[in-house]
Amino acid sequence: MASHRHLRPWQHMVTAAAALAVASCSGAAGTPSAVAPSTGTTPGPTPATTTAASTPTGASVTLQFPSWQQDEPGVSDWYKSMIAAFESANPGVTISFTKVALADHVDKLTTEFAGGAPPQLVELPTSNVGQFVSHGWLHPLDDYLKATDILQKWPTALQQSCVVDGKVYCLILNTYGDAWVYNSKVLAATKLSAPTTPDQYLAAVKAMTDPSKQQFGTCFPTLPGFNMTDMISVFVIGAGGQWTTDGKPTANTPEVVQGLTWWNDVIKANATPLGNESGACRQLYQQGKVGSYFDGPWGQGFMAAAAADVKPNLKAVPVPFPYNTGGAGFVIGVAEGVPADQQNLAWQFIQSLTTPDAQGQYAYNYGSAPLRQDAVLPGDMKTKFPYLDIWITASKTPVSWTPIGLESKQNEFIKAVSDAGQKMISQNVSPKDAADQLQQQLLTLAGS
Amino acid sequence: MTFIRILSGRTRFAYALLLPALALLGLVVAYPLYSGVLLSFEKADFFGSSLAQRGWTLDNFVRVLGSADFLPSLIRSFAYVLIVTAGALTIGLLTALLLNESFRGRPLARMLIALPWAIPLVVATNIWWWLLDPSYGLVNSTLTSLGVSQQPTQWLNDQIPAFIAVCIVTIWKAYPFFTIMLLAGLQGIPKDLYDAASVDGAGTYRRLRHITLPALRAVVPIAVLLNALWVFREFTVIWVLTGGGPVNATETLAIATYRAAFQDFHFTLAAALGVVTLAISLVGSVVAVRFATRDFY
Repeated sequence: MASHRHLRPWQHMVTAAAALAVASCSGAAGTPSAVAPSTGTTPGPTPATTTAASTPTGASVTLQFPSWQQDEPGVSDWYKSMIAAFESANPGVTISFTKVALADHVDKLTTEFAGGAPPQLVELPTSNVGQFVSHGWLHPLDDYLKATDILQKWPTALQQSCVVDGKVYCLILNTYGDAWVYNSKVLAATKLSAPTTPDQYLAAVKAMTDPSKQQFGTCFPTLPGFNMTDMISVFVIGAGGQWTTDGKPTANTPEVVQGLTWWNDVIKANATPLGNESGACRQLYQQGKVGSYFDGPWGQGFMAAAAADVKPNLKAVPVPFPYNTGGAGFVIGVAEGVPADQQNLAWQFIQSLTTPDAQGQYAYNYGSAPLRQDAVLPGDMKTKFPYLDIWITASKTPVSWTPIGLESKQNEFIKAVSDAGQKMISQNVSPKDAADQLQQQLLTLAGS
Repeated sequence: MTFIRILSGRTRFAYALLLPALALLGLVVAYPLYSGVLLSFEKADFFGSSLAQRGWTLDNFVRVLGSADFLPSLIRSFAYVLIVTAGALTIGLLTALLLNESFRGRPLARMLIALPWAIPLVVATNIWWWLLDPSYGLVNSTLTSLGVSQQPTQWLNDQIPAFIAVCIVTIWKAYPFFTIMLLAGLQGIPKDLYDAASVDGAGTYRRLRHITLPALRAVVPIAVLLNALWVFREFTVIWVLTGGGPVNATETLAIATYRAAFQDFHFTLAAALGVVTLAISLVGSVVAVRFATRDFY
């Protein structure tokens, strides 16, 4: 027989609130969790800036430098050597170079800026610059740049990605164009040659697919986010489309629909495994399970790190579409809201990356064209990077997929494009309908 | 007079001991909560690390509640809580009943059953991500080789399988909590009751139905309440597995709040969403506490 211990309404409320407090103090599903954000807390007013003491002269200072390239073959060696040289030249200064996955990078930075604890050195995909500047998170570099020749030696047109309302907020750190990396042994088995047209490309990736061997012709990132949007953009730009034109959404033009159709054809032919990020895709082609992948010059580092039996078979050719994606891939800047002495140190480190020698080493480690015109290039570049010319050529005529006019809503744009892709995958929405729905979303986004 | 008595002797010492914990709770729970509620009513934009206040408004709540995405997210959240809690409770009860019996290897079984609780959530979820990989994952490989399915299931790319997948992983993570709570409840049942029932000719099923389950009614509501609150605001499993996709199929209120704040930079809307979530949790808690405070003996 059930009986009640009679509690008054206020006692119920207090007990419920206590239960909520217990639940909120504990982790999800009963475990401590550091990942779940609190709902709607006010950002702290005081920037916490360094892990070491950030005191005046003579004291030790740690500059935070989170990067998705921290363990990227090739370029990470360059960063690490530059950091070592900087630390050696500046006793007491440490640069904490930490790994953050590209898919999480912008979100993590956002959280850190929102919490008033940004890293001093801010590396960003170029497409996010507008967003960060609009929130006042990047420190203008004009005063620093006045005393240098950097802007005279830097690619003028691409550097405009860092200019907002006449002020320079960052330096572009690479120029890129995509190429098609493929496994020549797998392609040779199909008796097809490397594609030069979209039709040949579609035929090749389909022919390289063999489900019985869990072998796929290519790999598309299909988890919602930057990488998925980037890959869809390879096809949209490749077909001559643009997400926006003159600042207005143009996501349902015939060219965009054509690009989406090519992308969707590969999906529907089961020529790509689904549910992967770009890192997993590269791992699969390094293991020989995936026949091809679109990649920037950083792809050469991944080619060199492939399995021993796969590495000799990996080759690169130009993208088999009329146009190829690229531009200024990523930038580096100094955080706003950190003490001035740390901003100065952060700038000095950035400046150290721009010398002719540093740029030569950058090109040598990265397998890419240097940013600086008078960079000192090592003599054995071509030996180390047999496909270097492919990427250098690609970087001369790239088309950026950054949606001009929607830069400050970059994440919402990325989600909208990812959703369009996922609708084609999971709901069998046609490319035309997906493009129309996307256009409506982008128009709403542009007007909001 | 009463006040003086409270503040005297051992009671005062007891309150003094509680003070640091209360202060900490105030700092890490009450203050953020207060700030969040305040933010939800602010007509504000976010610049750098400071807030440009422009007065008070209800617009954030109007926009959140009027959004086309709110109701589907709410329904998804309730479905998620219901399925996960029911699944975890069922498995937790079965495993608790098992561990309440004496058998060889019981210590090992206890350890194995509690294992999901011990593994860090992000690590466990990433392992599940690989297991559920449609092309190379163990789950599809097993289902295909057993002839259960002909085609690989797109666990994280199709809408319904993705929702099922996040439920399964959350149940796997949550059931040890029920096991431990229910096992404690089972061990508190006087053995005399079972002996008397056996003398009266009650079999296993009748003992379960008329002794064990009623006895657990004291434990189950509070366990269900705590678990439901945890699941209602679960973030990690969903974010790591699906990011709320495909096409919002796994976007709960917790995911929507994160997205609003840290991807779309609408901090005031996120705060309003958080307050709505809190209100729902509070109402659910009040109802659950009414059940939890009943005695059955």
